[in-house]
Amino acid sequence: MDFEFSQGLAALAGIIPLTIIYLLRPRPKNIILPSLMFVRRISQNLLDSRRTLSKRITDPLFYLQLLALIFLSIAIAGPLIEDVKADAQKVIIIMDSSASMSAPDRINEAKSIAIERLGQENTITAAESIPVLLAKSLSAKDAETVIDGMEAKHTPSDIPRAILTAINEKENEYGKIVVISDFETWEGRAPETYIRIANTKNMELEFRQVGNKTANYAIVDGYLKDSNDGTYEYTCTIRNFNDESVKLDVLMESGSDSGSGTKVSNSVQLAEYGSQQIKFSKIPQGISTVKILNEDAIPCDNIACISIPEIKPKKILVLTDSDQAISRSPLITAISLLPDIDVDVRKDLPEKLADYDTIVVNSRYKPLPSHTVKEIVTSAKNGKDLIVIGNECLYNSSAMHGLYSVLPVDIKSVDKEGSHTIETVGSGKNIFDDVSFSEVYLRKLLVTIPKKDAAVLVEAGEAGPLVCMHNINEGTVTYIGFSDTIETDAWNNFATTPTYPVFWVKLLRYMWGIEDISETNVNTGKYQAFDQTIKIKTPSDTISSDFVYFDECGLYGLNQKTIAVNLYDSAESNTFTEKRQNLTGKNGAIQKEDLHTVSPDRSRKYLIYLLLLLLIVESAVMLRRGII
Amino acid sequence: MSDFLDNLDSVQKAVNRLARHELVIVHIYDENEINLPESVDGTVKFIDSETGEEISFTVGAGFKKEYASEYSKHMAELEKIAYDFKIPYFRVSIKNEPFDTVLKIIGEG
Repeated sequence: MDFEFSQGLAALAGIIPLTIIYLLRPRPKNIILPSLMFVRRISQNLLDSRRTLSKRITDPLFYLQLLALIFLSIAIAGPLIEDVKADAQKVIIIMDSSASMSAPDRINEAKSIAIERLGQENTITAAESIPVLLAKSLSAKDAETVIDGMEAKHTPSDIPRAILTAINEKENEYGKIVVISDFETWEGRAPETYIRIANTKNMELEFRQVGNKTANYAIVDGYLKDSNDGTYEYTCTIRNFNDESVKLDVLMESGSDSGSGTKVSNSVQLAEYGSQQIKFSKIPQGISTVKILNEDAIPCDNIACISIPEIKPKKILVLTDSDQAISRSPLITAISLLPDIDVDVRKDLPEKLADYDTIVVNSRYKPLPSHTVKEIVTSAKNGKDLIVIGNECLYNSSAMHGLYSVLPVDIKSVDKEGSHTIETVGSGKNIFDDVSFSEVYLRKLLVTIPKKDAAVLVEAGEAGPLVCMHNINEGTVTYIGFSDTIETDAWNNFATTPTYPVFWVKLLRYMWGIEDISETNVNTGKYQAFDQTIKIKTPSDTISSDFVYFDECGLYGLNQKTIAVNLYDSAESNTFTEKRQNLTGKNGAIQKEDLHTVSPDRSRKYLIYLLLLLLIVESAVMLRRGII
Repeated sequence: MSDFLDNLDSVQKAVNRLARHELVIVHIYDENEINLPESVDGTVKFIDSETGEEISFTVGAGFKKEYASEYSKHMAELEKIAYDFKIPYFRVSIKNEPFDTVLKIIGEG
């Protein structure tokens, strides 16, 4: 037998002195009687009793104390008694909710098993590309409602990660984890390993497999290549996950929204388990789709969406001082480098302000007239993009203060103290990844504080934001704290650094929602966080959130961008895999291992009860003897 | 006059032999011999005051009760012998100055 603290058995050594004490202790009393005849009579065998009684310890107290000592020693040692935690009341359901579970009947079968396995206290986790905790510590009835509402998503699955997350949750100790999946894909260690890990953490782990082999056809491994003529070439692979050859009809549609779209049909003959790569050239800006028209097990991998950002020609109005040196400023040079951009540099407002997509205010010496400021503010409030450069004029001129109402920052003062550390923050870290702010020496700037709901992209420590923006209606107002003068009293040297034009390109693309092709075409299972709550149009719903988890194939609309989301996962689309994890066994027995726990608690409890009983008996004996 | 802690058969024979004389049986006893004191408990060595014989015994309430019962039985049988021989029988505690008491019994005191 194993003990929790085997050294505790050393207390048994106490038996030796106890025995010696009882053997050697002086006879308690010598009683002189005139005759021992009655004593002899009481004793059944006079001679034997005389001989043995004198040599043997006959006091029952000795045996009581001996037993107490033995029990005490064993209780200290703590014998480990094995116990089987059968039908644990705490149940953690991990249900595979990946794309392969959308094959017919898989999710329904999984739901039935989950409901059947519910206990008194239930936690429900959907195993997608990340574990999604749906409910915690629910009664069986409430858990059933949650399970009924579950559906297969369009993401890959990461069952091992979901299991480890559940195992590492301290609250799940002594619970039973039930993993229900088709086990089409398994990228972790062997399932038995997780059973052992769970057992060591006092949890039981049970695998339940659902689904049978089902034929499926899928578009996988799609990617885009820039053709440098304003169009892209799309390449993907059509795969047949079946043991029979098949002829698949593939249709590519593009530009269908504009009415001038094109359709390309193609037939692909695939052998059993076959695949074929296909290319579509001249994919235009906007949304295009490639579809397999044949019906199969998983619909979401039959459509591949393509989103190519539409770059429309932009017209920028730069309002600046009339000084010729300013008109040739690095700012204008940088903006002019952008393709399809018409830059109009003026000192007054033109008649038709509506013709411009973005207004840039860069007044350093001479403020704009009040009526011009008012008109700019009105345009910004109506949703026109506005960029205001933080020059001294913006702080000193009362006329320029009119712009403050639409700026994303509150301007507090002019800081002439010296160098500041420039740091990108939030989304700015990604947007300005290629901009070397470390080369910029910032000598002077306007001290600002961001307004509520404004997104800070670049900041100068305690001096406040250098690049900050917020949305007004459909437009964006951006404050830039980098003055672009390159004269002797320049506020900074940013305009002289090589990445200054890159900064403007990145900023304007971000403002206009022109994303990189890799950002508008993503795979399911991706998680993206935002600086603020935005409206997100998913393929099935419209929500407001500060993050998005792409768990559906199709088109997502967010921040005026359209993002095409596809599964593109061969392992997930393969519902006919030969290498599927077999967790069902020959006779349909579930591969599981009962949770065996060893604990000294129960044995200790009973030993202590026995000790208390012995104490009571001994006290009674001593009371009767008049010792106490 | 004796404590009569002996085999009752021998007592009976002795009484029978002396019965033709005027005979009075005076049984001297000690209260502690009948009811062993409470302090006599646990392991006790009983020593025969006459023979020096020793017996060790673990004494409990049961032993004491049985001991008292045996003693009472012994006295009852002794009393019966006296009755059978029509001999006056007196039981005198050792605490009550037994010799004076005996003299009073036989009319000399």
